[in-house]
Amino acid sequence: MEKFDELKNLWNRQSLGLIPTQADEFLVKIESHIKQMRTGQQKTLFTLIILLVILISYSLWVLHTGTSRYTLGLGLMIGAIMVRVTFEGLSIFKFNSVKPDLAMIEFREKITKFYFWKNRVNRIFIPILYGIYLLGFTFLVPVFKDTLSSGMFLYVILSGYGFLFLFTFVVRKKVRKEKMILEFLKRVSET
Amino acid sequence: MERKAEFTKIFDAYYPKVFRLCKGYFNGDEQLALDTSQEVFLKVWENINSFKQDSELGTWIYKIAVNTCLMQIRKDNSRKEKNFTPFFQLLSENYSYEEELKIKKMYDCIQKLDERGKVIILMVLDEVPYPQIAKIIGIKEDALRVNIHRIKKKLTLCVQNGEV
Repeated sequence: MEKFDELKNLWNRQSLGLIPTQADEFLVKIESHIKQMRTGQQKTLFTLIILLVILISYSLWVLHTGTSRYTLGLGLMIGAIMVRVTFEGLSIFKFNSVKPDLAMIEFREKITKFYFWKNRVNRIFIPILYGIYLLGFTFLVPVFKDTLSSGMFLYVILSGYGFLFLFTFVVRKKVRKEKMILEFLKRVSET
Repeated sequence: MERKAEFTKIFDAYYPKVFRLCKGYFNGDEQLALDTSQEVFLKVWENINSFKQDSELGTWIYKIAVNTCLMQIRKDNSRKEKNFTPFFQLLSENYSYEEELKIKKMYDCIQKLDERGKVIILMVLDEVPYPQIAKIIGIKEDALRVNIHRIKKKLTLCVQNGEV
């Protein structure tokens, strides 16, 4: 393997190019990054809690005052959102629970399981949830028609269905990306 | 303070190795290698307390580095698949034109290897001991030696003839 040793020597004579920063400098960056990340997570959690409180309070109020169609429609929409948020939280938890310091083959197996699960959720459960959300929204359309001005009604209808249309694209893109990742991980295992 | 001192020691000793591994894995894309190396050391910082003293530090760092490189696929596949040729200005001044071409060919040939082969050969080139590579990949040392022999042959042939 004399030829290979020559290649190895050649390889190790390379300059590192973009030489990394000093550890102290890097630590400052890391600490600010972690701080930013935690603030972001706290903000998200705070927003979700506020949203949840508003939705639950509104549901309770509607339960006493609204029509059964209104209650059902809103209940379906809120339920779908809550399940969606739970899935998202579970997904983050599952991904973070795969330790980064596992041996490559074990890491690949665990991460493949995670993406397989996520892909199944996005392909099967999320469309069902969107269907439920859509059903809830559709239940509310007559209520909107009766209570809103024609301009506002048109806006609610267009933005409501438009939002779902946009999310269909987002989910499709996610499913495709997950499939691509699964194919890549499969290639890693085949070697 | 102790954590910071420990991290600084690890950073100084392993950052160039991790960076070189990432640079090779991403076909010489320095920016992607830099981003990935930083992500590796972010994970090192976050997990430094869970590092078990009975396992070897180098093995631990390389495991994180290899898995982080693999998972860059989540972020931007198109960049990873792209061909980068920024090597010429990065080589040592002692390189001849012929050697420059050879090293560029090495990058190209490494990209032609499968994912596992790629990380194995990059660690071999960086002179990581075989028992350590076996632990990082998660295979037996005997199987690894067979693999390395095959990959070395492939790489050498590819640099000579352009074929894998």
